[in-house]
Amino acid sequence: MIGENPNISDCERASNSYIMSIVAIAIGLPIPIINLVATFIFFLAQRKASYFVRWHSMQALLSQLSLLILNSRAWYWTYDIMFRGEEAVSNEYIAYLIAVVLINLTEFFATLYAASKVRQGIDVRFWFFSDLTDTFVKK
Amino acid sequence: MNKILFRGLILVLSIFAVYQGLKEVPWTKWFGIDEKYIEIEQEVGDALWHLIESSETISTDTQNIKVVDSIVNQIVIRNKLQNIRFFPHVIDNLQVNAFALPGGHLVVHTALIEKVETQEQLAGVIAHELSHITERHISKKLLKEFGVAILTGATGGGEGARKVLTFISSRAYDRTLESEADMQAIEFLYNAQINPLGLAQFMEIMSESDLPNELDWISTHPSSEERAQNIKNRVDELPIKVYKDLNI
Repeated sequence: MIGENPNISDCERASNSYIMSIVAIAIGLPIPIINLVATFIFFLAQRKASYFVRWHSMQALLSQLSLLILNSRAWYWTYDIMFRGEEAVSNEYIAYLIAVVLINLTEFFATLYAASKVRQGIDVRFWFFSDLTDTFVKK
Repeated sequence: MNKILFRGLILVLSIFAVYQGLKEVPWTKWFGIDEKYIEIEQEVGDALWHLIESSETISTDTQNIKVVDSIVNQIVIRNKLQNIRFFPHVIDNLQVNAFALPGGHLVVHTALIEKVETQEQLAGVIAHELSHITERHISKKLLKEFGVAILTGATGGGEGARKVLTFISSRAYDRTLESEADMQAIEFLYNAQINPLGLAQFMEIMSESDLPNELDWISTHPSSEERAQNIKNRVDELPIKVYKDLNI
């Protein structure tokens, strides 16, 4: 358990950090940075919150950051093809887009799952991102 | 820290493996993207040709048309290029020029036909331009300059098409594409039993001439002599062949 016996309010706030990134996905798909900015603002707002809330806000933020990098590449690659003509639509491009969509979907459902579990006070630790979060968020 | 690095590495490698796996799937073939590009090329080419047709004088000199058509036909038949569409056009224009449009349109100016000393030289220029068509250099050049979005817009004619046309008819390809077209042209001419040295000779004539012309790939290319020499070297490597006298 991250933190000790989080109260209902903490559970809701921690869960909201995941919800924030899901809501932002809907608006932010065409512009990848929106997801990250939304989650980052939420994270900043929770700086003084309990360890439980801060930890989950950070995990949500870090997982969004990885998506930002992948989504940005997809966005600029598309821009290059459509407007700069640097290259044509290729197998590599389509494969990358599909991979990015799969990763986004995985992230989306993982985030939904995390939001629902954390709201019940149950910890959810994402592979790699939870370890990274442990190093950044101190009690 | 080691655990984080290890897990991070596993994550990155997994993503990379998924990407590599997906890359092996022939998506462009499945989605018919290559065919779509060819379709766009043909639409753009047709739109550009209509623009030329409406602004230039189409040559009515039957001899000139016959010469160009015959050369194109010989090259096409002897190289088994019948599956590619080619539309040779001759227009009355004082600029020494010839250029290929997307979709198989080949435009030859009458000034070029008058400028050549032999029909083999004209065949050399035509073979060079046909190579740009068969190797899809025009599309690569246009995609690089304009991108799919603008190019698709050019199919409607108007200003977009005019811009694309000016670009095509007045710019050289990059060095690699020009050399590729030279080498392909030699092969086309050789297979058609037309002396490929005509192309080298015409390059030499144009590089020495100070007449105004728009054949950028010859006149302004810094290494036109070098390219003429490369053509000669390549021809020397080919098995000796008796070429037909072009007398159309």
